Amino acid sequence: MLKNDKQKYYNLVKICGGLIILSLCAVFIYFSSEAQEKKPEPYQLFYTANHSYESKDYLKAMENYIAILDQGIESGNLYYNIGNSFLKLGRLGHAILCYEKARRLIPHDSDLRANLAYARSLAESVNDGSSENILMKVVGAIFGSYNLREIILAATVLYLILIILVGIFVANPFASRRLKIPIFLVAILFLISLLGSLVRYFDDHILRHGIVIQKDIACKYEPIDKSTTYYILREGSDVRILSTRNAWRQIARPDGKTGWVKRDAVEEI
Amino acid sequence: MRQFIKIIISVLMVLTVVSGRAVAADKKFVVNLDRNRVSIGEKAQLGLSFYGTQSMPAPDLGNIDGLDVRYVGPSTMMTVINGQVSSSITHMYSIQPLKIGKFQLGPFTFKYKGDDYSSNLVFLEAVDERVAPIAQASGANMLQQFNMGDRIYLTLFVDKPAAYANELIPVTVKLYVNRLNVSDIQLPSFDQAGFSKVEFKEPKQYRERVGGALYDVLEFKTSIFGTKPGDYHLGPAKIKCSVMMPRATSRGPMSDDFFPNDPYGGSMFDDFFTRFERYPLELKSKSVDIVVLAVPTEARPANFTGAVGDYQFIYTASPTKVKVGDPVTVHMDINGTGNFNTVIIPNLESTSGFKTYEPQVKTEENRKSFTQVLIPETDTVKSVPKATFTYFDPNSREFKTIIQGPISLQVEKAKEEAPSQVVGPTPGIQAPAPSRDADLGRDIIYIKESPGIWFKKGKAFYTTNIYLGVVSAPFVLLMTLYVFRRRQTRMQTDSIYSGRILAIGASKRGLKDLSTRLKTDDAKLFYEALFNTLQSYIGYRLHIPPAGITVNAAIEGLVQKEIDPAVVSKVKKLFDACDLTRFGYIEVDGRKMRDDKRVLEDVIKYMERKKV
Repeated sequence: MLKNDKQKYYNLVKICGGLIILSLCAVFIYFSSEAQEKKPEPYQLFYTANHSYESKDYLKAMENYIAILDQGIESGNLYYNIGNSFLKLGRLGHAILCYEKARRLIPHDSDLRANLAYARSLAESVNDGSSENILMKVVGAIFGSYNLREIILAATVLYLILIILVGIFVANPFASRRLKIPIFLVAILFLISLLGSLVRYFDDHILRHGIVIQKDIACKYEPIDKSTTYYILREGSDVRILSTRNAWRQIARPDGKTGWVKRDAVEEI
Repeated sequence: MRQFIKIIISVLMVLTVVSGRAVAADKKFVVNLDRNRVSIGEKAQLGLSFYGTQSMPAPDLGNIDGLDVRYVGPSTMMTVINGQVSSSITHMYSIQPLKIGKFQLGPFTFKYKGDDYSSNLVFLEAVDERVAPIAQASGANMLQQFNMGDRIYLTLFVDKPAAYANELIPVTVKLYVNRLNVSDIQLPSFDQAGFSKVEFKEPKQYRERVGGALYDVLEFKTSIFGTKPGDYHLGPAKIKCSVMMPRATSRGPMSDDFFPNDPYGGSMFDDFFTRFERYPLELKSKSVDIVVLAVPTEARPANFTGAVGDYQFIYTASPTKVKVGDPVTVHMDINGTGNFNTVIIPNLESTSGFKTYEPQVKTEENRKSFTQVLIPETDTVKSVPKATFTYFDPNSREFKTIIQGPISLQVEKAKEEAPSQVVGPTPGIQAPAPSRDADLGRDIIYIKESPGIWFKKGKAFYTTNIYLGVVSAPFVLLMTLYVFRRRQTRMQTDSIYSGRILAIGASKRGLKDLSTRLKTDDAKLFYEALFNTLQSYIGYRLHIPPAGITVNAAIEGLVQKEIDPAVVSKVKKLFDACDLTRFGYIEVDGRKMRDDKRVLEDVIKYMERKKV
């Protein structure tokens, strides 16, 4: 009886271990396949666009860049280059919008940070993060250089490591004493990365951030043309999109004042 | 800049003033040894120098009897001889004698790209005793040895023996060379306590006749300025370089007695027996006295900031017709001669009504320009304020002030939203001020040359089912492992629990076995299985090893557990039926077997309900 149980137990441990390792492999294969999904056409378009940019034909460059987006793919560098093209064409709002989109993909890129700061200085729309709460500021300080994908990936890897450690802890009572500290540390790291993931996800996807892409937009009290203007929004300003109704968007300024603007005046990041 | 000059100087590497005998200038291929006498086991360096090319491959010297020859590597060189630039490549070989004797190296002949190269010959003597290395002549010794004090020297000259503080003082350092090969010339340096840092410009090269002798001159120019009044000594200026000299050692069979130790004496044998060596040399000039005067304090304007020189001030602004909030760029150019290090932006009279940014400063030779952006904040502004620049002119010894402006400016109101009424604006939040360190004149960083990693738009990995599976599967497995482990622990520590679990297992397996046996219609095997099932089930339930269960033990145990006597009776009957059939006392049919199986099931059901 005992022999049979032991055998079953070891078989189960083996199966669990194998499946966890397979899961880890699946994660990395998935990421690598996602990252290496190379198609020749987007590359060709990208380099053609770069050539047009070098020839100072910014409109043509932008056409090619946007043609890549139309294929349903995106990259941080692509948004960065589109932002540059917009800036060269004097369309500050669009440039800032594209830089912000790029920031969600390559937040660590110093060139992007410099160009975004420069564009914001031109638009006089400094986003100093003063409207963020403490949690977001803390998460921003820890994970500011990483995008949501990277934070979730880190959390996932930590989670799987934690599962493995806890699995060993459960399966082998003799190893449990040695594993307490590693499990505690990994659990702390996992919780931090999980918190970072949730906050960043909330900021990126739940709070709908937008950029004013037209010059001096009148923000109204009501979604009616003849309504009283509440305040004027500068091109490139940050807003939060609260709702959309027909041709109007309800937005909130960083100081919390809400109002209605024409739908095409603000674009979501 | 200094690095750049060094590079230029290194290109001009060898400044040569050649004596009556040219140093292999007309030869294309020269062979030399770094020493001509070595002991067994020591190595000498053999150099094969090809002039007029830098692409000559390493020649194969082949086997030389008694010598171990190994190729070390090439080195290329640019040389200036009498103003003529030539290039050369030297292939170095390591030569180690294997026996005592005198070895002749060369003449070597090679053919390359149609050109014939033929070398001189050199001799290497291998001796038994240890050969002391030839002492390197120091620069001073070498000058003394060859009596060359008037052949190469350095001078330091300042245009003004006295100057005001912050006034530029031109300094000239000249290197005079008379018929010598000089290389590796470094930039001059000198003691400069009390003066600004010295940066030399690119040197000029020309010829100058001094005392009847023609010298090649390398002229280094710079400007310094005194930082505080006082009497100072400038210099001595120093220059480090190398001089290519014939080696002052034995030169073969026809040496000193007939040909004195004058490297430029000229001998038909010199070409064969003379080898040139590089001697490091540090030349020093005389020092110069300079008096630094204080800028007068009398009549010194309040806005004097230390600019000393002779300047002009140009002041412009554009555009001069703007709207409120539009930038006006003000250019302030200071031209002239003098010390631009101490020139700061001219003073604007008043910038009230303007938003201002940090000025952009650009310094060129004899010019410093300031670009200041002013943004009118109101339409009441009528002019760009006047600017004042004050400096001290050391030639006229007086302060001068240049006032430019004001420049008239037409400022219009900014365009407003006509149809709407604007209420409650909070400009401080609506238009945050640009960061303080915003650089005017900066521009965007160039586009990325590669697209980076592609992602599917709007489709992140963490939203896919695969990811959910990857995340949830390990958790489920962990929970399974946990439950199994807990059950296993309980089985080991909780006998009641383990008995119940094992009894259930035994009954299930037994009933399944009975069903199988029933189909075979073999009564003996059926009751055998029935007995085992009953024995195992009751044994586990009563916590008695199944092998130890007999009819009496089972009945006794059941009675102790206060089991219904009818059930006890059924159990007894089942045991009896098993015994009678197994041992062949009676024969039973299928119906009886099915009935007994049903009785067993009833017993098990009762026991499970009773939770014995």
